[in-house]
Amino acid sequence: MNLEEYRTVFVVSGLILCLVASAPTLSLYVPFPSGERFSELWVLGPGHMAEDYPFNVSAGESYLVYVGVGNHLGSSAYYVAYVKFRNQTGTLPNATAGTPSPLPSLYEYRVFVEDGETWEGALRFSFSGFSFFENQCLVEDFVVNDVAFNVGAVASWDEENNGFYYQVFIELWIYSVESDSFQYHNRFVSIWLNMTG
Amino acid sequence: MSGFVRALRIVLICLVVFAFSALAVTGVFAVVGEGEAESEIQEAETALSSVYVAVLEAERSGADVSGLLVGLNSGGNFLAEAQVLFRNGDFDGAVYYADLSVESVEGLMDEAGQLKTLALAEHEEKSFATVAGSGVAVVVIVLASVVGWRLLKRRYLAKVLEMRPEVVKG
Repeated sequence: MNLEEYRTVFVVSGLILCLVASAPTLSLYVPFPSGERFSELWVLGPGHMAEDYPFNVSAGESYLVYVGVGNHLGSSAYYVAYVKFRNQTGTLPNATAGTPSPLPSLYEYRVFVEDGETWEGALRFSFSGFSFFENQCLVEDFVVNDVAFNVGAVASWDEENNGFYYQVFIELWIYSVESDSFQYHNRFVSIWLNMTG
Repeated sequence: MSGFVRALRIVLICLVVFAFSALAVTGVFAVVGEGEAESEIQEAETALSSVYVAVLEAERSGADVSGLLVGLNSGGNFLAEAQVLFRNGDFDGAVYYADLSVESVEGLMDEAGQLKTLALAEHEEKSFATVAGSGVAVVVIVLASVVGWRLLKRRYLAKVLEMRPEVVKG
């Protein structure tokens, strides 16, 4: 190796060492790319598992599911989960347009979730005021966590699936600091229920 | 007979007046109850979102906001309860829970502000230490390189000067 080559080695290794030494300072001012940011929404059965969801339901019986929210947005988030109830004709949220269901919300959960954390809450529900006439079923009251809501929802007999079908669904909304209001977060989960009397 | 008719008329008038006043009173109370509940809920909403914004700022400054979120969640539970009762027409209950919601986040705004100040000071201190450490390290590397290079160069040249030409026999 001649002197010129030695000099090149010295300069290059010196520069590399300088870069390594200044890395902690660079990390203070240069933002590193973060992973995908998203929120999760789920509904689980009574055993906190994705099984044993209530399906065939009757008046006077109480059913339990768990609603969960996960935050992966990079900072704490303020969520509202709205519980809604519909018959076969009630409108669901539109995932393509990102719009919520126009049906009124009945129950709600308001939660603040830290980044990387999850929240889970119990959703205990029952029905009262069932009545069947001809090919229709009327549910007068939908009771969520001991609060009764007069829904007066009528379902027609579903010949294809043999039952009177209703759906409980949960929409996720998020508080936006910029607009100082809640915005639909384009996520919803649901469970189908067959009224058996 | 005319006395009976007069008495009947008085009773009827009293009944009508009573019915009207009862309707008016309940109507006025219902409107006040709903309006009051709505404004209390609005107040709780504003309180919660303001505290949330302060907590978010503290968090972005590097503060640990887990404790503040516990208080906020408590306020959120009460506010959700207030909203549910309001939708169901229980305005008294809605006002009660809206008040509880505001109470449960009282003081959190100041706490978030303090945490933010502390976190910023800590961040500043850490940043200074990091920048100073890096600066010292870079200076040491540059000086060591220069000194090392000079030593190497001297040794190299000395080695070259010590070399003698060899006579190669033809």
